[in-house]
Amino acid sequence: MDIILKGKYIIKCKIETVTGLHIGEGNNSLEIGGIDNAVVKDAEGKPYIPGSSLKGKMRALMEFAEGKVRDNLLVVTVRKNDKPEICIHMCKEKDCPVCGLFGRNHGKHVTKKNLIENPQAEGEDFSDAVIPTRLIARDAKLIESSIPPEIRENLDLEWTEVKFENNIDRITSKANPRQSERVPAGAQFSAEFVINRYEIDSKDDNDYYLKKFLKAMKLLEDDYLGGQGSRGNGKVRFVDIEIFYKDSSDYEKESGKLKPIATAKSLDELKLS
Amino acid sequence: MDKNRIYRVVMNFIAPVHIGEKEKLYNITRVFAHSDTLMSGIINAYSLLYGKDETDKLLEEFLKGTAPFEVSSTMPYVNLQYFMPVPLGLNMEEYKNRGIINAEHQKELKKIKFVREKDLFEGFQSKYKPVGSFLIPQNEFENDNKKSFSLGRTKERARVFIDRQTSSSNIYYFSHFEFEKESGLWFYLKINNEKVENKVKAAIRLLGDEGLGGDRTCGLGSFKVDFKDDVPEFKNIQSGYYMSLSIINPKDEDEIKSVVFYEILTRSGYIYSKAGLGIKRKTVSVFGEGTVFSNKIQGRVVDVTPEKFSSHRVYCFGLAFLVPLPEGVMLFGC
Repeated sequence: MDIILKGKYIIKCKIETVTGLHIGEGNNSLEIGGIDNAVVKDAEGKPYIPGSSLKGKMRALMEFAEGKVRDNLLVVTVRKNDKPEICIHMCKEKDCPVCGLFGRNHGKHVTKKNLIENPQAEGEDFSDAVIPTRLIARDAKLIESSIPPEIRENLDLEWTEVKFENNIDRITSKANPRQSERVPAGAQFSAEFVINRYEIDSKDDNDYYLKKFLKAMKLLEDDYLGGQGSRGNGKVRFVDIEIFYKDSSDYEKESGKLKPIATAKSLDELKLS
Repeated sequence: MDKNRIYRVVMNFIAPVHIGEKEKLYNITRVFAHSDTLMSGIINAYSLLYGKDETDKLLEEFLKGTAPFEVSSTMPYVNLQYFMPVPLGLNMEEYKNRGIINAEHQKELKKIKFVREKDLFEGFQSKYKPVGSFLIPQNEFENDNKKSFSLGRTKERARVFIDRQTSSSNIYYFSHFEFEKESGLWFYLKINNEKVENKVKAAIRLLGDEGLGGDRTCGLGSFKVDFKDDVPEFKNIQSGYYMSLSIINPKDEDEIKSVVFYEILTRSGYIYSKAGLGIKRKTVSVFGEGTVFSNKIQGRVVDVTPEKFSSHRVYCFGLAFLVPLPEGVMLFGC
């Protein structure tokens, strides 16, 4: 297989939170009087959206949208007592929009269907189908000015709010409150996605994967990011979108300024020429 | 050094970076990339841009012993000051006794891992003070310069797999290093063959967009590149001692005999290329950065292709990137 990089589509945009956003950090540090359910923060103490959260969520949504969530198309990534615990989609199909865009994992994999039928199943080698991942989802940094001082005054923490939630016993009405931290609605993050355009054995991608990715962005707008989405958290929208194309020959020049091939205020207005 | 062009390549990281320490350990990150990691990144980017055939031709030059270009390992820069590893065997105590290094405790001396490029080449002309693993001039403190002196910090991010049908989750941790503003990594790039200069630079620019280290597709490791000409002239071309700025796999016994102070590292890991992923390459032992030699040595490119892997050969870049140590550098017992 010969793979040559033809160019890169670079999508720059802002991610705006429409409702509070909670991307958890995992509770490995508990402070007395601290919040039990913190959000991820960077070295400067500001919340951000990890590239892995964006990529993982979009991948999952794409799998459903492309009809890939079926026992025979899911591979087992974590097994417990020889039972499938966690499965995601991965396949060898050449034009698979999910695998082509979000990447495949090397090594041997066994499908969920096979594992259920035969707990000792060895799995198939996927190495032949593996090519470098086309999508790079960068961390999205908080745009500080999107949380103005008058909002910060009302926040419980420097950049985030604390939301109280409650379980109530149905008979005794005993309350069991918990608190979780979230980024307030209206905050903006500057995001960047890169989609590599490859030529694989003389077959050019053109903008096939770019279009598929725009679909994934739309899917995300109608779903949620982070945790507790079914309770209202995590609605986001993409605004101020700019798409650039960087040809592989551009790398031989000292950096010049790129011109966008498409710009739009929102995803609905975006048109590719 | 030779008349060939040498650039200082400054990597200004726009994202945190994860450089693996050992296979399958995601919660440990290294801060610097060794020369072999850097080289394979450049070669991979080169192959993405120009295809397999042209890359094979380039590699052949390396194997013939006429390397078209060379790189050092990455080294830190903090507040736009360039640092280099301390030569192993540098007699810190003697420097302290002579009042050149001002340290209160013996321990502080031991922690010094990096000195400024300028100071090393000029033979430590003023007075210095250790700050963590860096040795910086004393007057930096006196100048009311309140800017903190730090390269960055390691952070851990929690990551998760989610089952598509049952939504059950599996959490794991991935650590990365975040650089401060005006801090980052840099390395020397030496061009021996003018014809490849533009292409190599293109590959390094592409590497910046693709990223260095692990978890690149989740945005880690990307950087902006700046090729600078402000490399100091490596004075005293003939010198008693040479220090290595790269990892070195010695070519023959004579090269091994010329080593004075050394550290041995083990380089292992997985193959990353268009043809092979996730296959372990052969392990190789090398001399680390800061190793001191009494002669100019070359090193070699080692074939680490695993058995049963036939798509292409796999190499570990072990050529020496040496700089002469100036006269009067005080080493133990010399």
